[in-house]
Amino acid sequence: MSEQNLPQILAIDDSELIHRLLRLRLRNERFQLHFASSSKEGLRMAQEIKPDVILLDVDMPEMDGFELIGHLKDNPETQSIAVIFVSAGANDPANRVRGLDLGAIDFIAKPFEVVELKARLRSALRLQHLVRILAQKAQIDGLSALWNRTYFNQRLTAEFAEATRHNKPLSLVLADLDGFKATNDKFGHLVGDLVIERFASILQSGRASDIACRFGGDEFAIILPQTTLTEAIEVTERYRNQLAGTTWPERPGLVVTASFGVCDLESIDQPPTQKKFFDGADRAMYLAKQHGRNQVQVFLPSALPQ
Amino acid sequence: MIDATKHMNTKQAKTFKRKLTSRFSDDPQMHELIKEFVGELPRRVLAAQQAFDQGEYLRLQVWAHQMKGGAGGYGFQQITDMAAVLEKAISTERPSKVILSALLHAIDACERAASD
Repeated sequence: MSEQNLPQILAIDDSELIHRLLRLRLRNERFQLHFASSSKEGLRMAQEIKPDVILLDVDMPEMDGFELIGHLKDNPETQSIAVIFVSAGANDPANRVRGLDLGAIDFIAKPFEVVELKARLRSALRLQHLVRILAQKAQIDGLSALWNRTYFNQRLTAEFAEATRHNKPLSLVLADLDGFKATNDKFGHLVGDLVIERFASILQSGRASDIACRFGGDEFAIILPQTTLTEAIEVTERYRNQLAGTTWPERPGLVVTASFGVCDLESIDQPPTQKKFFDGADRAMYLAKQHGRNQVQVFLPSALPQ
Repeated sequence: MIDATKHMNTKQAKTFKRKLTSRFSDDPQMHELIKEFVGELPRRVLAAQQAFDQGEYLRLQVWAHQMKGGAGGYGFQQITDMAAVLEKAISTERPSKVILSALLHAIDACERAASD
């Protein structure tokens, strides 16, 4: 396992004696350790590294651990990090209550037994893993196992912001199965489900960087980060071809196709907005339906004839 | 009797002092760490003495805070306790003789610390 895949632990403690102790005692564990010597440095590193677990000293000058955890929990980017307080005051129930109420998941007394510390770290990592799975489940569509609409909205906002800020290419594809209602009516819902699943697996077998989502019903969206219009058309044509060429042993003679609309950031009017971007892909998809389905259409800038 | 104690050099005095051993001294993995920690103590003690002599209480407070937070982890709870008293004495701006007394207790604990 590469170092990047190892769970990341950030220890925030202003005593270098504690850093040295942790570094040596935890060297054989399967996590990567980072150290911060002050609250401010710790807060900065937490935002940068986004560790799985933070070991947080309570008693620090300038900003104590209780204040620091408040900042972590206020920031959406750091609020899900599991925080374990490490404190000489852990024997005082009032301290423990305060720490847990502020969102810490555990409290370890200082001086700590390393065996106990390791066990508590492992337990925190297990919990963190489950919480992540749960959070992810709430963003996954049950039938297709693609990302759902909630996730799509969040991710599109993030990718749009990233692309506009750094002037990077970004494309969006909206797809709609052709005559899905008729297929459902004719062959039944089980076949309808099968069509959804198979199309989803085609979308998922594409490039790893593409973010395929199911909107519900027969509507799908694919976010293509770092992808120009030309590349996006190429990728989408591949998806279209694969679906149209799929044979259905369960229902011989069944042909399933979809209409695709592609839009890239460059093509929309200035200043770019997320709504214009989405509407662009939607209009292109509508155009594909109008022009006879089973095709890929592109959103063209308003300056050009449509 | 009082004079004798007063004139006894530090090295002799140390032999009369009760040794402080780490509560983790039975843990073979800790042995190297404890040895390193104890080995550094004279340098740390000197730094604390200098800070006091130069009236740099803020530096002494940081020193006490570090010792308080760290020493216990190496199994020397007594150093941690003494350092906590010293830190408190400085942060509550107690008279310098109180701070000195707390410092001497902390130094005493440091000097008694032994790695085996």
